[in-house]
Order: sequence, then structure tokens, then C-alpha cells
Amino acid sequence: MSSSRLPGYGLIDHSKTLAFQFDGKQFQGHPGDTLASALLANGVRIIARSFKYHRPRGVWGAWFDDPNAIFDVSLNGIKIPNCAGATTCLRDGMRVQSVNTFPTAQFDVKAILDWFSPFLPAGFYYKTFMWPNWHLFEPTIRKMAGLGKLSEEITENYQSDQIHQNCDLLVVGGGAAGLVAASAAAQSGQSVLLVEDHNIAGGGLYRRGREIENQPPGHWVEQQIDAIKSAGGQLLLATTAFGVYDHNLVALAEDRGFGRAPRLWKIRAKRIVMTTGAIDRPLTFVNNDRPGVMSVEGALEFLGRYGVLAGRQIALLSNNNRAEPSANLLREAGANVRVLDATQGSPAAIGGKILRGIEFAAQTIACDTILASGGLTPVVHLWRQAGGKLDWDEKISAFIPGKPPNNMVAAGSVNGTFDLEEAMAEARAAALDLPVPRTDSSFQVKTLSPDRHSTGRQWIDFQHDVTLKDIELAARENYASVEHLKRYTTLGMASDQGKTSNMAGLDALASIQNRSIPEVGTTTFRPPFIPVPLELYRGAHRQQLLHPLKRLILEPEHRAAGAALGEYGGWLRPAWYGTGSSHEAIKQEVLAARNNAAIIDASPLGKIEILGPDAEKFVNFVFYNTISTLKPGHIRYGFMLSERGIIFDDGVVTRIDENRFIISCSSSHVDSVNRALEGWRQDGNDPDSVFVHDTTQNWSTITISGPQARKILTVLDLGVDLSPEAFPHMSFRQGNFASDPARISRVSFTGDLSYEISVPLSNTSLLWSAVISSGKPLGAALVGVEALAILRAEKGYIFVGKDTDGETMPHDLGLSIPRMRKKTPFVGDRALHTLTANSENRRQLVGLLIGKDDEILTTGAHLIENSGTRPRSIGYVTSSYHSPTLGHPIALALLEKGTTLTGKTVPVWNQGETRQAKVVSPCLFDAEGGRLNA
Amino acid sequence: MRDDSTRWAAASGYDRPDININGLQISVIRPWRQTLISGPISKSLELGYQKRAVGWPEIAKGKNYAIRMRRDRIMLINGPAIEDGWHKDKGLAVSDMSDACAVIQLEGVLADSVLKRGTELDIGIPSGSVVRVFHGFETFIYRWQSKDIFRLHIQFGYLESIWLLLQNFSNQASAQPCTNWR
Repeated sequence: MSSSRLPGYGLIDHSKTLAFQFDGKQFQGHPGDTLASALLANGVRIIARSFKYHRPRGVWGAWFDDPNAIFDVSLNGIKIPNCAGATTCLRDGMRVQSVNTFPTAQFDVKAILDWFSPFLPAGFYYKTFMWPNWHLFEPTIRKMAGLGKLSEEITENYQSDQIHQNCDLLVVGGGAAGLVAASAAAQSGQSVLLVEDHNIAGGGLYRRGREIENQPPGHWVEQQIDAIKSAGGQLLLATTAFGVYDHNLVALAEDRGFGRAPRLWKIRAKRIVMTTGAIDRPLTFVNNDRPGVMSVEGALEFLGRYGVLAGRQIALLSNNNRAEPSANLLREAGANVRVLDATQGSPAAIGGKILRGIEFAAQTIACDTILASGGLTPVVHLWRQAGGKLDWDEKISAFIPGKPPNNMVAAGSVNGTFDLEEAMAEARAAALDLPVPRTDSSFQVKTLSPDRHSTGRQWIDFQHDVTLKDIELAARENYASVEHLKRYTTLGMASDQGKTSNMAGLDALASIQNRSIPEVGTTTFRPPFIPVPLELYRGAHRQQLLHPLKRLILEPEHRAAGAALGEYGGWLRPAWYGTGSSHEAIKQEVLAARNNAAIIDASPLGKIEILGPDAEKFVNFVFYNTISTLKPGHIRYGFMLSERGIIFDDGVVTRIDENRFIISCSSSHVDSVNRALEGWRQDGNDPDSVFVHDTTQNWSTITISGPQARKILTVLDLGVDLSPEAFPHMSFRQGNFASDPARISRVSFTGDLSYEISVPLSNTSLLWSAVISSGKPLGAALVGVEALAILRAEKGYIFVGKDTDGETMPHDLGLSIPRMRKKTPFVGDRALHTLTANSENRRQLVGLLIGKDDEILTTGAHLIENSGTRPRSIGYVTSSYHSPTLGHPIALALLEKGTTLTGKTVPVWNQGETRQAKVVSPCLFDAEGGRLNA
Repeated sequence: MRDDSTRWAAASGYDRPDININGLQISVIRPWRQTLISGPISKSLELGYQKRAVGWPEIAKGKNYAIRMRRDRIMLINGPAIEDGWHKDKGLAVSDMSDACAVIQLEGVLADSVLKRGTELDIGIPSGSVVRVFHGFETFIYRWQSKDIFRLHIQFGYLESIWLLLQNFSNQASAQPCTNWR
């Protein structure tokens, strides 16, 4: 046991103990500990195994910069995988399990893989597992890879909270600079939010323990917080800014404790001050991944914040002038520290699971701990995410913030200003939007590159087992760009996101390529800065709110009538009625519709009004069909096309009067059609002469269809002459129902005599009851969407998106006249005259017939051609049903040169089975239209 | 074919108890008329006998008022009966939307915290429009009578979902109110 707890040190509560287990062994910690600090205090050095070689690993850093301590943690029946040990607070009773180990981190049988490491360099699996097939190896590799294990139990109430907030100034980082910035800004009258990821503010102040403005760090921090709060500023502790997005939107993850999903804060700040600090940079030397090798700043943080002394016999290996002051702090705490200038030799750690010493400059120095520092790396991740540039500071050998993104400024250590007074001066200026004074830092670092001639492996990325030799291999194989290097070697991926590995990797690549680090450049910084659970983004988007459906005003009536409900185009609609067999219920509904009448809740049908003196011109432009000749009181069926000439929607247009049209688009396309119409309205039209009003949800529509439809309407007393002469097919009348307006359209989607009656929502229930009352004696039935789908297919009517696809043009459905003759421009016109549009091989809508007693064709089944060496798909089945009306299966299909194949037989292939179908007209019911026009 | 009727709780429509948590009250209200008018704002207001149409963060007052959606569109709440269609003399398009929008009222100091779960809502950032995307739904949000009473107009078809969302948000807001940072 080399690391130990020091009484009286740190911010933890020494008076209370917390019991916890690690890999089955019992330990104790204190309130205020993290898992990593508690393990370290108990002398546990091996806390993990590396991802690839299963090398024993210890703690490197004391906070988000630790790549090694990843645990599965259980408490009170809740198990959370992949908890970061250095940032997860210890709770009494926690059971902590190392990940990717068997059975424990201390003794892991898979450590045998390390013996084969010479055969497992970077990219080995890209090269090795090619033959006979990657999928042969994949299951085993996947089983061996990965970190934590998901609990099989569902964690109840694990739901994130999400809040939007705005502020004048967001300060990211609650160290000395951040506290000063927030305090100054709050006192100047700005609304300020300070975000600090620890649950105690102060950043690195506790590491050095020295007084600040003549006060102990803890007192000074409290004073600053009081000043911020009393000036109206806000402070979010245990909260990490993990992403910066457009328009100064910063995402924060607030840790709400173990077992609770974090809270997502979406902060829109007018200005952002980055006081994100700096972290220690690893040194690249032989066996630098051994347990007991730790960052200098990490060791000081463990000492100052958690009262843990990292070791007793310490070799402090450094290339900068912070080494001696750091060593003195450790000496004061009781350690025997020997400082080694890393630039003066090629070090090598000695030992395996237990660190024995270090070889350095031809000496063997016994030690139980090696503290390493290759300089300080400013935490510029959020700065880069926001689009800020980086400058290379030669003096401190680090990238620092350069040209800033809009409304963002950096101050303190992140700027490379490591001296406290100067950092605070920068922060004050940044907070008040004054020019930030820059001074020369007292920090000095000697340039140091990895020794490529050392024997033994030198680790660049602890988390992914990327070594210096892997970098060399990648460079040899011409992965010369740092972005390619990253992907080939996995350097800087996963939760580390380059925090510890990035600079070491750049340094190595620069050294190999004889280039400077700025010439090599950095990889792209992307959110999230720390790992966050997917639940953070999910929030209330769950269960019925994941994909919320629109609900019908008549839903209670449908339920009372025994409706089976289903989702159709974003609405919860009756699929069929009755509790028996769905097939039988649907069949009876179809037969009732054909023999008597169907009563259908068609409320989701679009009712988008186009109003204004330019309405006619506008509707004529957005529709493929000519609408300008449509007279008031009449209705026309038509297509809306995309600019590529593809059918976007179909529907009917009703002309109410000279300046007013109603577009009744598909139920599921109302929102997109409305958006498209508004888009076209604002493009090339006089905005005061045409308006688009989506009134769909103001009106409910009840369709009465079938031979008895007219009789049913007669009973309703709508004040409209319903005779065929006075009210023919494709016409519109305004009537009244229960003294309120009622719109009656004589249109049909079944192929039978049909009326659509639309009334305001508040009148719907009354109308529904009245229609049922008048319809039941005439044999009318309530009909759901499934039966409607069959009725329309019998007639050859299409569902856009089902019987059309992303290539279907109107002439593929037989509507080619506007394409040839329409004189005025319309959306999609040009695309209908391209080579593609005129191709002879276009897929056209056809009907398919099979044997009377055959099973129906499978929707999606391929229509194939066997003329070549291999079968070729020449189309597919779009809709397929058994027609109760016709007594045999029917299908619609899109078929290459379909109309020329009428009467011929085509093979239909589905999952290895081939059947034959006869190509026929899509319309198989009342082709002459006698029933439609009755 | 699947019967999903049991997967979706039966719709309650307008007939539902209020949400009451820690002084927060959320209820569905029924204005007797909502009228959408598009065209020059001054003429729209004249047609509805209104002097102004409120945006954000203005406070609408009284039973009859107008809210503004965009530079050429307002909605009259409880305004006079106006015939649907194109009003040639004024150059205005009029549509009755009384049944299209359900209106939810949120009252109490937590109301702001509930709404901030679903949208950015900052009294320091004014807007001429009350249109907001609230948790992905297009809505109108404005203040009515006082700074702690908000009204939310939504498409009627989404009433069930948004009510469920507000119940969820109310519990969260009760546990973690948002401080007004201005």
C-alpha cells in the first residue's frame, strides 16, 4: 500500500465513513470522496484493465482527465455502467466493479492478450479478419471488446429534466478566474450564470493550498460565491458545460446524484467567458501506463481536495518549472520526492502490477509512484466547438485560444496564463467586456519529444492502448493526416476525447514526420466534452411523447363503438370496428360499404384555405393539374409535385368563390403541404394578394359513401338539393347542420357515390350521431381505415407514398395531359420534360391478378424479369388485399413499362418464392363510373 | 394489423381536471371564438375592433384581445363574428379557428418554469410574434392579465400529448423551479 489518506487534509468529511465494495472487496471512504480518491486512499493501485491488451491500469488524473477509472456501479438496486471513477461521488453501500475484466482488475485472465501484443498493432483487425469473412470473427471480437455491462433491470424513473435558460453572461469554470469573472459581471448588473463541474467551486485552488488575497482558498471561494449571489448571479455546481452549439447555445449536464439522470440545461448566453483551466499532459516514456504513474496535478488535486497522498516514495518527472513547488507540497505532506528533469534522460518505469522504480539517466531509482508532467494543456475543447481558432504558444508548448468565436472570450489558465493574479485580471476584464490584458507567464517548459529509440512500449493513449509504435506504423502506412491517424489507431476516441492523449499523439506524429506540432494540427473537437447518457437528450421524448399522435374529437365515440385504433399518418384512427376477427370485421365493413353505405371519420383530411385575389393563379401554379378553369362550387382532383416532378401529394381542390379555394390534401401530409404552400407563397408572389390558412383542425369530416349515401344525407336536412343533376360528382355545396355551417363535397375515395360533410369540431359529435341514426336503418356500417384501403384499391385509387415512391411522376399513373398541354408554369414542370421523365422504362401503376383462391401477394414483393443471366427487378407490389367485393385477391404495383404489359403474366418474387400474376388495369371496380356518378 | 387502442389512454378532450401543484394551476379554457386574420395588421385590428395585437412578452388584457403571429397575421380571441373568406374591401383573409386551437392556461409562479422545460422564454428577448416551438409542437405562447398567467394555444389534435407533457413538466418544475435570471 503506497497511497494513503492524510488526516486533516482535503475538503472531505473525515468524521464520517462510507462503506463500499470494489471487485468484491470491502473498503471505506468519506463523504466528499470520488470513487477514484476512495480507492487510492485505500491503497488500491490497479483499478482497471486497458481496452485492448488488458494491461493493469491505475488512476492518472483526479477529474475528467482520468482515462482509466471506468466502473460499473450498483447502489440500491440501480446499476449504472461505465461511470467515470474520478468524477463519480462515493455513496454508502456502492458496489463498484471494474469493467472489461475477468474476474477482477487485480487478476484478469484476459491479460494474456498482452503477450500477443507484437501481433496486435494498430489496424491489425482491418488487415487480419478479412478472410473468409469479417462476420465470422465479429461476434467473438464484440464479446471481447466493450466496457461496462448494461443492467438487465430497467431503472425506473430514470428521466432527465431539460430546462431552457437565458443569461447575459455564462462563465464556464468555477476556478479562481471563473469566480472573479462571475463576481465582476454580476456586480456590473449583468445576469450571470457560473457553471462549475465539481460540487465545490474553486478549481485548482485547493491543490496548492496557498492563500489567495490573504485568505485560505475555502474562505476566499465562499466570499466570491456570496458576492456573486448577492449581486443576483447564479451558480450551478456539479454541472459540466459539454457542448457549444449555434447562436451561443451551451449545453450543460447537471449531475443530480447517482441513479438519477442528469439535468440538461440549454443556456442561451449573450456572451460566454471560458475559464476552463488547464490539465496536466502525460509524458511519453517506456511503461508509462503502469499503475502508480500519475499526473502531477492529479496527485496534488487528490491531496488538496480529497486528502490522499499518492505515494510515499515519489519520482517526480517533469519538463517544467512547476516541478519543485509541486514536490515541496508533497514533501510537506510526508512524501519523499525526487525531482527528475525529463529532458535529461529516457525514463522507463520498472515493475508490473506493482511499481518498483524508474530507470533514468543510467540510474535505477526505487519509488512507489511516478508523477509525470509534460506541461500544461489548456482545455480548449468548448472554444473549438464554438469555432474559435487556436494559436500555438511556443513558450508553453501548447495550443491556446486564438481568434475568438462571436461573443466568446477566454481567461486564465485556458489562455496559458497560469499565474493566479494575472489570470484573475484577465477574468475581470473578460467579464466586463474590456480588452483582456495578456502578460508573460512565469510558467516555463522545456521542449520534449518522445524517445523513438527506446526499447519497450511507450503509451500515447491509455484508454485505447495506442503506443508510440502504433503512431509510427500509421505514419509508415501513410496515415499522415492527424485525422486519418486518429481513425486508424483510435487515438483520442471514446470518453477521453483527446484530453490526455491528443497532445502526446500530436507530439509523436510531429516528431516522426519532422514537423512542428502546429504543422501537424489538431483533430476536430466535438460535443460532448464529457460522456453523457443518452437519457440526457431524451428527456420527455418518451412513450406516448416520443412520437405524439393527433387525436380525433370523435375518439370517445369510436372507442364506444368498439373501434380498434391504429396510427395512420400521424393520427390515431379507427382501423376497424368490432371485437372479433379483424379480417372478418374488415370484410363485413367493405361489403356493407358496397351494398349499403359506409360511415367514415375522415376528419384528418386536409382543409387548407387559399385566399386572395391571386389565389387562382397560386393554386394553378402549385398544382400539376389546371385549376384556373375550375368554377366556384366545383372540385378537381390533382397532384402537387416536387420541383423534381415527383408526386408530393394528391388531393382535391374546391373552389368556394373567385378568391377562395380549399385544398383537401392527404391526411398524413397536411403539415408538409401547408409548409410547401407557405414556402411557394413567399416565393414570387405578392404577399398581400394570397394567403394560406390551415384550417384542418377546425373542421371534422364525416364521409358517407355507398348506394344509400344520398338517402342518409336526405334525413340530415342539410338544406342542399342532393339530386344527381343539382349536385353532381366533384361538386361542392354549403349547407347547414344544427344551425351551423356544413360543407358538403361530393367526392369519392371508394368508387361509390360519396359525400364528405365537414362541420366545426364542436358540432361533430352531433353530426356523427345523426348520421348513424339515419344510416343504421339503411344498413350503413362504421368503416375504419383498413376497409377504406381495400375499397380504394378496388377502384385503383392510390395512397401517395404507398403506391408511389420517390421516382413516381404523374404520367406514371396515367395523368399525362397537363404535362403535355398545360400552358402556364407549375411546380415540377421542367422536370417532367427531362430524359428521365421521358424514359420508356418508367415504372407505371398497374393492377395485378392472381388465382381466385391464392394467398394474396406480399406487399413489397418484386416483379422480376428473367431474360438476362440473373433475374432483374422491374417493379414491386405496392398494395395487396383480398377484395370482398370481387371475391379474389387484388394488388397494385409499380411496373416497368407496365401499361404495355397489360394482359401479360409477370413473375412475382418474394423471399425465394416465385409466383405468377397477370397485369391488368388498376381499376377493377366500376370502371365505367356508373356507381360513382349515381 | 394491430389494435393499439389499449396502448393509448382514452382521449379526454376538453373534459379534464386541472393540474394543481404547489400553487401552479393548469387548465383548459374555452374562448368562444378564435379568428385568424391575414393581411395588413392595421386593417386586421380595425376589423376586430382592437388597438393592438400582443407579442412577447407583452401582456394581453381582458376577454377580447388580439395576438400577433407574424407581420401580416393576427388571431382575435373572442372577437366579433366575422365572415370567413376574402374581404376584398380590406384585403384581408379571414378564417374561423375557434375549434382548431385548444387553449391551455398556466397560472402561478411555477408557470414560467413549466414553459421553460419546452421552449426558450426570456422576457428580456422581445418578439413581435407569439409563435413558439414548444417541445417540437407549434404553439402560440403569451402572457394574459398578469406576468404569472400564460396562455398556450395548440392544435386541438395534440391536446392529449401536450397535456401529458405539461403534467410531466409540472412535476419537474415543482422539484426544480427556474429562477428568473433577469
